[in-house]
Amino acid sequence: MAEMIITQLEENKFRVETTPWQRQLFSSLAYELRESITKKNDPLVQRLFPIAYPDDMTANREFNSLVQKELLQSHLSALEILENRSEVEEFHETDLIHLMQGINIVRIGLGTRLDIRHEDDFYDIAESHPDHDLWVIYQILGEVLALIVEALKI
Amino acid sequence: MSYVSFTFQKLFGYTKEKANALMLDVHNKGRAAVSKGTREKAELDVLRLHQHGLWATLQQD
Repeated sequence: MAEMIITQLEENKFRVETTPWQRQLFSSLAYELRESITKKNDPLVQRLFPIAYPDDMTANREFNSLVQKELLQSHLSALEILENRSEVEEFHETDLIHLMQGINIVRIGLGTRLDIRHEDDFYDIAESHPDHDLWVIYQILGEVLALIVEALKI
Repeated sequence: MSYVSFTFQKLFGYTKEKANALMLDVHNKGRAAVSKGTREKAELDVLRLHQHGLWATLQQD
């Protein structure tokens, strides 16, 4: 189902092959998420920029002032890697991890939109359900994530 | 789930067994203490977890 092929060429170096529909999917999801996380009031922002000190808002503000820019840049970089893919590419392990981070955060974006709070929430949803396609995409992204983790296995 | 376990191994150098145990704690109990240390170290670890899309908070013992 995932249709992504990852081949380890040598230590820390991988070849990644993707299909046209995958690249189109990654690109559109990454674009949509990039638009969302730059809007302050989008509900997704709370999920991708979690509160670090839930019991201390002063400490939380200090933490945010130090790291929020870096965290935003990290998310945007991961999305950029996801958005600009070619059919066959060679990746250093670090870049493959960034690609994995990008897939994970777009999956989180979809999960937030579908109100998935636990991995076990996934079930066989009826094809007539208005969100059926999004559920399928959520599942596909999970399979791609597992594929990358398997390729990177420590 | 394998993503969470992988991230714990990669960020903290944990064995697969320890990372899996922590991942299962998160899955079953909703939380796990994955890192300890000074405030500076803990904040850096939280940032790295947030960069990987994982929900992490800080707590003083």
